[in-house]
Amino acid sequence: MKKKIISLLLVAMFLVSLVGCAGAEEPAEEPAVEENVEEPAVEPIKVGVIFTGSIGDGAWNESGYNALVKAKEDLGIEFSFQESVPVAESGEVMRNFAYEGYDLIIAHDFNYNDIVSEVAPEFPDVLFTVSYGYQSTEDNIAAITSSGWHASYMAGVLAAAVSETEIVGVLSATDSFMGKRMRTGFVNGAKSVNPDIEVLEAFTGSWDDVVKGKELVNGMIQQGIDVILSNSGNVNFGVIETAKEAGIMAIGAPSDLSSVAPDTVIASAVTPSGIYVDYGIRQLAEDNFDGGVYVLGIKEGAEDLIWNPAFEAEFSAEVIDTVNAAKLQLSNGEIEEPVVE
Amino acid sequence: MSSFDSSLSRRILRMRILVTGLAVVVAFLLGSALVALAGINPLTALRYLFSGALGTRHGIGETLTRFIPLFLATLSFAIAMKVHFYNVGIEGQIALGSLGALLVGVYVTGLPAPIHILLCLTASVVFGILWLSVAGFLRFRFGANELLTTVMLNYIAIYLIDILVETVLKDPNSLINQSQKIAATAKLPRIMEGTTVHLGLVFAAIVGFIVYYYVWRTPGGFELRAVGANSKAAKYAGINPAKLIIIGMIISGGLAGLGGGLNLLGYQSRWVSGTFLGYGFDGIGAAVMGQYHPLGMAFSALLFAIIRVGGGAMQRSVGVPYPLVHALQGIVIIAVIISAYFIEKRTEKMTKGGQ
Amino acid sequence: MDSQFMIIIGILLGSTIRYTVPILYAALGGLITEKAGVLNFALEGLMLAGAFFAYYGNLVTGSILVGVLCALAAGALTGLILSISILKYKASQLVMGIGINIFYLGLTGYFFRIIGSSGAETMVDDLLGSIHIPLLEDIPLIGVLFEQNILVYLLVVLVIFTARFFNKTTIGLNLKAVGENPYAAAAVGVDVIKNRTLAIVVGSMLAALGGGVMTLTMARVFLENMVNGRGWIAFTAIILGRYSSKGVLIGCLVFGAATALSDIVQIVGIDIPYQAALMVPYIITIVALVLSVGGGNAPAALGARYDRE
Repeated sequence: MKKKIISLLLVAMFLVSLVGCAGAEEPAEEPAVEENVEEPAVEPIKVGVIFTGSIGDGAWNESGYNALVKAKEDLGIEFSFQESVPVAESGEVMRNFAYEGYDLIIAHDFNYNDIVSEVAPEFPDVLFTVSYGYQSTEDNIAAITSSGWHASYMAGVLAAAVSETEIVGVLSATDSFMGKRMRTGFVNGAKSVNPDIEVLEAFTGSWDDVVKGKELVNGMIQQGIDVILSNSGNVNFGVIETAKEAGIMAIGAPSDLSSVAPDTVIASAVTPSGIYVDYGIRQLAEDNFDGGVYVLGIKEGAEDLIWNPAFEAEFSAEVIDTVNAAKLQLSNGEIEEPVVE
Repeated sequence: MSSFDSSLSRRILRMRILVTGLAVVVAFLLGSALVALAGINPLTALRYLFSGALGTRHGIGETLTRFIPLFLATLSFAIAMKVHFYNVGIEGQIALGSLGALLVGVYVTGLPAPIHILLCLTASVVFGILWLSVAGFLRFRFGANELLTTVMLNYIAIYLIDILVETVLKDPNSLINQSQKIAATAKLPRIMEGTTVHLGLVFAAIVGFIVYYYVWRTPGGFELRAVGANSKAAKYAGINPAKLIIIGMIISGGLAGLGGGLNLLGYQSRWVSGTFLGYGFDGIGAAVMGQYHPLGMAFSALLFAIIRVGGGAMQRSVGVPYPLVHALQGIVIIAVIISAYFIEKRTEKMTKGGQ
Repeated sequence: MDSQFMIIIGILLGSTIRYTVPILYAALGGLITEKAGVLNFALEGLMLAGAFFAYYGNLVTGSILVGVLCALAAGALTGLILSISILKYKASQLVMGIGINIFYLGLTGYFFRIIGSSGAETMVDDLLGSIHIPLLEDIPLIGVLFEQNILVYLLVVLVIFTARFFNKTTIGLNLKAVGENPYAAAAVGVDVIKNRTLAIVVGSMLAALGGGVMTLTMARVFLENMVNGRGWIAFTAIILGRYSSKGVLIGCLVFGAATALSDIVQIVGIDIPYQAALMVPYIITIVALVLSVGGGNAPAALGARYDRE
């Protein structure tokens, strides 16, 4: 027994020393890498990003992540990120990024806004953006946002225009100020076409419980909906699957989901969050960063309704025109903002 | 004779620490294999894990801040285990404790700071106890298995608080679904400049000591342990097990609630809808690893805090996906619980050898 | 009104079945383990593992059968680890369960992120199709019971078989014996360790298959933490069902129906916070637990450590 313990201990010591060696070797390696780079290029911009969930959510976070990858290619930035950061503990992650020498910290969710307001004054030389943020309390905070309801309004218009049962549905994961705006926009859009239309709403309470999402939508289908707007992250894939099985139409959100089920998804109410990420990085890259609230809209591509080409060809001109007319009105600011209590 | 005993118990203690340490090393090796699967050099990743959590002043501060609720969760679980009450509902009791501190912290104003803080903490302890009492009541009145009721109560607690925070407790000045911040007089002061470490660390240390003293050094604590070890024998000795289980339960719920309260007053300052920090579940793992002894649990809670904080650093530096943190914690728990067998065997041998 | 009522009953029935099936697999797995005297706290983690590996096997090979086998293999392997640690190394059953649960929550999430992108590329091509039983499927209202997939029919067989298994077969009786009094069983020559290992491994395989059902028949993707507490519900159902397979079936149906009901509350637009609807199943489970207590009927040696003399 004693021998066993001693031999195990030796193995452990060996491993620890390996870790130690690796630790010691690393700095020696780094200059060698630098030597290979001939020209002493300008220090690349370092961007640190905080996500609420996984970058593979096929929705909000993924769009933000893709924008980072693109900015790396186009603008030569360096980036890193941390996933699944609860709002309550996000301040520490921001501080970590700041201490680690990042130039720009992107808090990729509006729920981080208040924490950013707390942390930003501690680091006047670091810039912060809040995706879909709503307030900027410091010069180094840019809250980059959009109306939050234009895309879903168009989705509502489309849903009402194609619905035969006059009942449509919307499925969300959790409720928030952002979600309320989105849903109210959808309802208003639908009512603008057909004042008698009924809109059913449900929540999964989780961004992961895909089975629950399916059941809720299935229930709504039994209640007579023939169009569903699904804005619940990864749960969307289950929702669209259910719509496909039942032969009803689906509208995806917030990414273009036509490719997931080309015969089911008629269009997508896209609000690509990558636009917010990209906007902040570009401002910094062009040495043009100013604090404040920036509202992007249909014109900047922050909100849109993207057709599934197959359905765009199939729908009557009337449907297409109704949606396009709404889009024009929205971008001209002719439609009243929904009242969210 | 007694000097011989103490040298033996010291040798046993050394062996326990050694074997447990080995188990942790083995667990980290397995975790490293997972990191390697992602195509990342595990040695680099491990280096960032430790340097992120312990390498800077800020990192140390973050680790110690996380340590506070974790440590209280371990104490809570351990006390309940001593009386064979399976409190898997620490997560919910922490949440309710936070709620208690939040209510008093936000809506009671005009008190001097120390009194306000004490009042908040009292509320968190009471809320923690009350939430656990639901499970306790169901067990004593109906014989419902507390393990299951406490698990269900976790889910209910989280939903309940979210409903409150999105309705009556919602901060009217914010668009976010969150409560107001607690009053300045309810905030626990920071004790390490440039970090988030707060006075809760001192509270946690004191509470840890009191728990140790009560359980191992007082007659009441002896009775508690006696019930845990053998309730039939305890009955013969004139100890009322039901009474002691209730005492253990109250302490357990109170400690969990206190953990939530301290974290809220010292760190969170408010409740944001959808908050799920997982200290309750991690605390159970850490309690096992610490073998239900306050000192052991202080170390294991610290290790779990290091893994949490270092896990973030690993992702920021070399892109290790964050869920590795849970996988690694799971492996640590399993390795340590298996190592307990070797400790037991070895202890037997050493004691026999001594005689 | 009448037709609306019928529609709601229809939703309830279909939904209840789909919510019940994964839990029932896990609960049956747990039941087999517990009949042999070992508490299986790892159901939640086993379901997650099954869900992920079934999905992954199906994704890589495009074969649902491979998916099923992967889930079973993950269950068997985890079962072996559980057996060795609990039976040989005397690890606490509760703690092993919690360790496994935390481990798989992390591992499946970690693997899912490692395998990369999301969206259409990570969706499996096919779900397990339904088998329609002619004539029976046309019965109004309950016709839905006869258009299920093979794993649902298999489950029905399993429930019936499990009931017979513990009362009529030698292996079943041996398992029960080691669960009631391992020392007495050992005295008459029943190998306690071997029987318990068998029960843990088979039980874990069933639990993993319960998770697999979710990704093989319901969702074309795996999502982190998609099991969302169902393993714990399954664990509760065993106690609710007083350790009989018929009782477990009823216990799982109670939970399935409660969840389906909470969905209806949302869909028909009853104006309460949605979290209140989401709480319903957990509250009903507690209530059911309280009401069902009394008989207990747990195996006498359940959860106790067994030391071979």
